[in-house]
Amino acid sequence: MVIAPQFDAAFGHADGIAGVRVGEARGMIDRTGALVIAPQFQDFWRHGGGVMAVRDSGGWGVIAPDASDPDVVFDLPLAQARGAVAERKAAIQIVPSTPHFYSGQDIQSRHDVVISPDGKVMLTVLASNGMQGSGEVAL
Amino acid sequence: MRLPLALSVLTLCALPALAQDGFRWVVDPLFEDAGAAQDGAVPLLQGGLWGLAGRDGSWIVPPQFDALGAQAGDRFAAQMQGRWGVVDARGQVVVPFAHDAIGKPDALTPVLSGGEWQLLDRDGHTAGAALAFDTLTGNDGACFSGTANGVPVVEWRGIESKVTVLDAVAGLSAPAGDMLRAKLPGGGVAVLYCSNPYTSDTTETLEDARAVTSGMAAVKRGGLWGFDVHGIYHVEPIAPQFLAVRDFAEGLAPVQVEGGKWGYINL
Repeated sequence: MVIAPQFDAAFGHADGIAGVRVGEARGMIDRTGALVIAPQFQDFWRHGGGVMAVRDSGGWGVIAPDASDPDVVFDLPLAQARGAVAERKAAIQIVPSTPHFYSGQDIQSRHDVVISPDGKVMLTVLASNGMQGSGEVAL
Repeated sequence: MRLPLALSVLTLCALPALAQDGFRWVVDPLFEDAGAAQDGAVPLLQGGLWGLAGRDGSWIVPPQFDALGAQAGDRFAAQMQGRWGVVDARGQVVVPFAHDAIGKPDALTPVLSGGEWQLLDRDGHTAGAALAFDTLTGNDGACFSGTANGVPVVEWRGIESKVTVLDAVAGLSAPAGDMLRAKLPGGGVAVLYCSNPYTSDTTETLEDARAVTSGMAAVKRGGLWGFDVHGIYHVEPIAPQFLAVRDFAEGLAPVQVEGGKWGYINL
């Protein structure tokens, strides 16, 4: 058990953060289990690409968690890198994450991985040629 | 084709984004419903119609969809004026709104047209023959599950296509990667490989199972949940010991222990 049982409900991580429920209030934790957003919401949906939907007493809105903002957390020139690949015909993505490993990869996609010298950040370059088959399986 | 942008310049926040502890509001909480974010696009319901909001708080697609369906990667299945199509996280229509039903937008997207489930590639072009289904249960990558005349069928569209009629099972789940769950006639479930399905006489009967993610299949034996390993060789199975589990994501899986609290395990 890498994060001790302490939550009334817990959900999967995406971009390094996960939703948890404490009592009736929902917040977010990081990969160590530390609360990065204190429990305060009535509901939420899965995070994706730096934003997530949350519900409070007024209704549904959208938040950007600091802990999943790669430009903030990693302090990398990602905007410059993304701009450099934006004009390429192939669909190329630069995906920042905490370091992890891959369990497999299909033959239709390719990836390149760079890990920062301090071991805290991994950048994965993904490309798809549009053929059938899904991408790699990241753990 | 790009959807109408007349409203796309409107900022959804009535006030400048407010910094909170650990987050900032991008869109004020004033909407009727919402959905899971994909690639920075968030579904929001306003006035009974769905739209997509972006990271900067403006509409990528103003509310105009009757419904949103499955989503994957940067793509959302959406229904407009009774017809289904696919829009991406930038607001581009990548599959026209011309279909009676649709599966998950993926490398191969199943669409129901003219009574047949056709497959479209990522550019919206027909890819191969129609699926051998009359009802689609689900799809993921090159794997498709459904029924033909009420009989479960699994179809693999990998390098070597394969259609398997599973008349020995009572039902199939939507696939996850190359795996899917089969409900067995006598109770319990089996985990099958889409590219090489087994039938109930060759597969262990489990009390229950969840979708395979990250090469791990959550399985229930003896009233408790653990994880079996599928397709990866550098991790060990996790013995049944949990009251409930969710799927692995980014190397971690939520698990519920005795007493009811949830924590996380890794591989």
